Amino acid sequence: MIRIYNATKSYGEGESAVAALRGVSLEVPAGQFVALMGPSGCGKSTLLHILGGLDTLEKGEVYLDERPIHRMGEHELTLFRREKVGIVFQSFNLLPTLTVEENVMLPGLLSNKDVPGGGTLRERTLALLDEVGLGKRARHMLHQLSGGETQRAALARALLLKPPVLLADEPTGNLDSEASANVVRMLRELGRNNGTTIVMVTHSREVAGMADRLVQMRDGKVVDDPGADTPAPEAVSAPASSSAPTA
Amino acid sequence: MRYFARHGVQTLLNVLGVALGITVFVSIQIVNYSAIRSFRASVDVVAGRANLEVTGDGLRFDEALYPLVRNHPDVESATPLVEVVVPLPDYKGEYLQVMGVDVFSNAPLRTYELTEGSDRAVDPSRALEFLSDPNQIGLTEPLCRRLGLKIGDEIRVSTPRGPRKLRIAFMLRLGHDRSKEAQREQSQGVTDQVLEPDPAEGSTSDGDMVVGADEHLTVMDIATVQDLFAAQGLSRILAIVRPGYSPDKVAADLQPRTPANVFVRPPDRRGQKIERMVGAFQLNLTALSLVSLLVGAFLIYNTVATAVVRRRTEIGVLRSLGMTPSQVRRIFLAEAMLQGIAGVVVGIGLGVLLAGQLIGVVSKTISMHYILVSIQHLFISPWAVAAAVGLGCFGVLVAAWYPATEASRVPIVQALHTGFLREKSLRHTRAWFWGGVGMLIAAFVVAQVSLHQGPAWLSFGSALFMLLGVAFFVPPVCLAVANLLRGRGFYCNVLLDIAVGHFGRSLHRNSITIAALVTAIAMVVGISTMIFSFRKSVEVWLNQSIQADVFLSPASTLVGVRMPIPTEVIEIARHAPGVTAADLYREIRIQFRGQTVKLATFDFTQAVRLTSLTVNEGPAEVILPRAAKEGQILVSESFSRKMKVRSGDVLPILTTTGQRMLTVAGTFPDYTSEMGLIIVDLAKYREWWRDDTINSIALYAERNASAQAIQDYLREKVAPYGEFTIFSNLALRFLVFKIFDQTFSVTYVLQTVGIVISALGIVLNLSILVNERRREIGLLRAAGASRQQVVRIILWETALIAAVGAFLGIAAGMGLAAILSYVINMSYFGWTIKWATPWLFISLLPLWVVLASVIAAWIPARQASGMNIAKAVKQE
Repeated sequence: MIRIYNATKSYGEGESAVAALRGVSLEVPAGQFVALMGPSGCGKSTLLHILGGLDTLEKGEVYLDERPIHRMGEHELTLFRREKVGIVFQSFNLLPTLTVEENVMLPGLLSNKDVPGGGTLRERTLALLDEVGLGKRARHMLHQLSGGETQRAALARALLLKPPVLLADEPTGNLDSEASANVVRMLRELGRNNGTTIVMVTHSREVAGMADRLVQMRDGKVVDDPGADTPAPEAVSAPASSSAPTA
Repeated sequence: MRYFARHGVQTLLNVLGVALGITVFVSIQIVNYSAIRSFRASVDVVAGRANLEVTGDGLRFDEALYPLVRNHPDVESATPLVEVVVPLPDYKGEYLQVMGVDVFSNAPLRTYELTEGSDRAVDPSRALEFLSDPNQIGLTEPLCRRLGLKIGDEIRVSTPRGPRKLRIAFMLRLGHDRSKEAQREQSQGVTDQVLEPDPAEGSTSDGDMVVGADEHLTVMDIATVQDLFAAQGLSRILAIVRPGYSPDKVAADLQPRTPANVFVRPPDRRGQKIERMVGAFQLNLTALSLVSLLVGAFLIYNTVATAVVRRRTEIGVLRSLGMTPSQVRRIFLAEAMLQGIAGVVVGIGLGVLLAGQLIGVVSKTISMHYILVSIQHLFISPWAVAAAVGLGCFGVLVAAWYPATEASRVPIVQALHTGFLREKSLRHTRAWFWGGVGMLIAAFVVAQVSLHQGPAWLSFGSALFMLLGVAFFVPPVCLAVANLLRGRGFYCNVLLDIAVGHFGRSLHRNSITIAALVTAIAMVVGISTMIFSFRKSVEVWLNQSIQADVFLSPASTLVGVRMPIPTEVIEIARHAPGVTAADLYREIRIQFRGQTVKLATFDFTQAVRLTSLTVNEGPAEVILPRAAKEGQILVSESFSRKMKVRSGDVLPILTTTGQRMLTVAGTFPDYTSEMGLIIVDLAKYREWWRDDTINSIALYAERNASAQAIQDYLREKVAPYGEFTIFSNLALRFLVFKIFDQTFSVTYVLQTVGIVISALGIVLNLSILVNERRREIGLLRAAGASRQQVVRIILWETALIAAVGAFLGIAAGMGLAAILSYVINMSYFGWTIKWATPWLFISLLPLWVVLASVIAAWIPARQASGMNIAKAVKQE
């Protein structure tokens, strides 16, 4: 379960400061596939980065399974990214110097831990590559793959350590419509199979339509959330160790 | 300018890199120029206003020549001069260069003035009294100031009859009275030909003073000098030829009437001769200083490349607004020039400061190996400054051209789209490889041409081609290393594998940094190996040639002046208790084929018995006695190479008793004289030169005698006769190596600066790499890499850069050492250097380089690991 309360973030300082998030509150139940839509600069990617522990909030609170992400230090955030989150970016999100297989294995090698649920890292990697249809491309270098294949490899990498949350930042931005549909279908299936919560940023209404829930943002705020059941501030069930909301 | 302000530290590093290269170049130019100018200034003072000079080139000649010159119909006035260099026993390493002048005939020629301090001229009658009083002396004010002396103080000077106290009666002002000169010129129509500044070289005179003249110069009456210092004969006759008459014609007229080893010529030719003599030494320093500039040029390349990487978006915007590629190139070239000019300005300033530090050691080296010179003033040649500005700006332009062109050619869409940069160098590795092979072949060919046909300066071209050749190998070698390591460490060390991947993919940036590192390391390894080999060769030679137990010579030898040993001292040494044999040694300078060379003499027969001298053409015990008997000479290897003389050749040698045709009996290794050395048996020397002078004595102890006891005995007994240095065999070897190391001390400074510049290059390169890989690092962090892991990846890559740089640098250094030893040395000096490899130094060097680079990389690596991940990955 992801809970966001009053998330506020701006870039720059003083008069030139630009507000990216203006008190966004959102709750995503475990296993749900949520699509975030909105015009450029509305704050959807920023929200995704906050959820992934890539950026920090100025104000507000973010919880994943009751763990306060907004209070994590550098080391905790690194572990959080490794174990709890898988991220897929629009493009260029794999290292060009490594093979497809190596790229997928990378989070496991960096964490130096066993794969959750058993099996060796290599077995898990090859199984995932099979799942995304790249079983025969494991030893290929990235430049030998098409855009859709690259993004599927990225998806496999994001799911390697079976993270509870998968964040996708415009994963179909560089793909044609057929490849886009394939990648999102795969994203949804893999998410369902693994019980993964998925938050996807997209500009495409077609792609967004494949999600369980569509959240619309504008000017750093959630403006439309048909499936919203966002709790009131007093209803946020913060863990005992966390402090009370600041605003 | 805003870009510079935003990247202040980096701009500072760039400016500093150029500045250091320029610093080394400028300092060497200033030191070289100051040495020549100081010597010229001293010639100006000694030669006075003369436009004709008669000199024995170090040997004194018969006074009977004076009337011959004075009475020549075309000579207006002439004056005799005796010069001696005397040590000051109370001031270590200090000496006086005493000019004994004839007060009556000297007036029209003199270029000094006696004062009572504060520039107050002395009454002429008192001046006359001073010059004829053997107990009074006048010193230059700078020397007095430095030694803390004033008028009225006493100073001890060494004489052959022991130390003698002299009272400082006046200050000596080295210059000439312009008003008197004007009067004289008005009345006699004499034109100044000596002190007229050479427009190309600038003037040595500043107002009335002759600036830069040796502060050790002093003046006494000629008879007093001859008597006090047992200096019979004349060192020089100075003359003014009547207006309208040619000094060259007078010289041609007088020359046949003088002994063969006495020369009549205009005094300025002496300066030119000295410049030729030290020219090779100075040229070598200049060439080495240029290597630092080359390293600096690599740095500038990276500087501009950094700017191109950082400002891709800006380039894209400007291009999309209609700016032409050449305008983009001009922007980057102009920015590079701004930094280059700042570096040149700072470099010139630092160069002057460094010159001040180097001048002492260069002065000592020139005095020890070539000619006594004391440099008190730094002369900044406008040509050196212009050359520094020109070289600096040209180097910056050349280095910046390629990245600036690269910037101008970036497609607009690609420029506006910040992602992973494409590696272009990968496509060209084969071309780089063959380019490198071509450069090495060119280095070999140029070396051969330099050795067999000349000119000698081509040998530096060989070194340049060799360095460039190895630099060309950097991209293919990097790629080979990356391919070799690629994938090998993935499962056990993923960080290393990622680093290897980066390393192989960033050849365009890494190659330049590695090339700079290779050049700097090559300089260190090349010079160190050459010096190591040279030192080993000298050591072997010392073991063969220095076998006596005790050595005695006048103290002045330590400042590069060979004074005679009094006969009494020779007798004391010969008959000292425990001494079984004494080897007498005499050394003079002679002219051979228009060049100054050394001629030494000792008893050949005795030397064969007592030492293990090596003669290349056969056993010394056969060749030396035969040479002594038949009146043959032997020449050093350096002489043989420089003059292209072989065993069996017959050489015309100028002696006091006329020119003699002497057969070369053989060649021998020698490390005492770069000018080249001829040896002749003592008995023949005395017969032909009519000179009984001895400069040093080597004493052999009896089997059970103590060398220390002999030294103690001598110190006590010879003290009344002057200042002498008495060395044991070990102490003399120590002294030889001290002089050896001093000779190369400037090169160590040059090496250090080269290393500092390449260290700056590594830091700069890493900051570029980090900037280029912001997104990649962001992705790694997003994938769960910790800050420490990112730091480790960057440090691994740095270690790879340093290791490849170190190994290629060592290879290039070995090549450079070979060129220094067997091409440049042979072209200029002709020393015999037997190759020796400093294994310990070379095996430890890569470790030091890697360690230093990793330490230097720590800060950029930490910065990289701490970057905002969201910002980094957002750059699409």
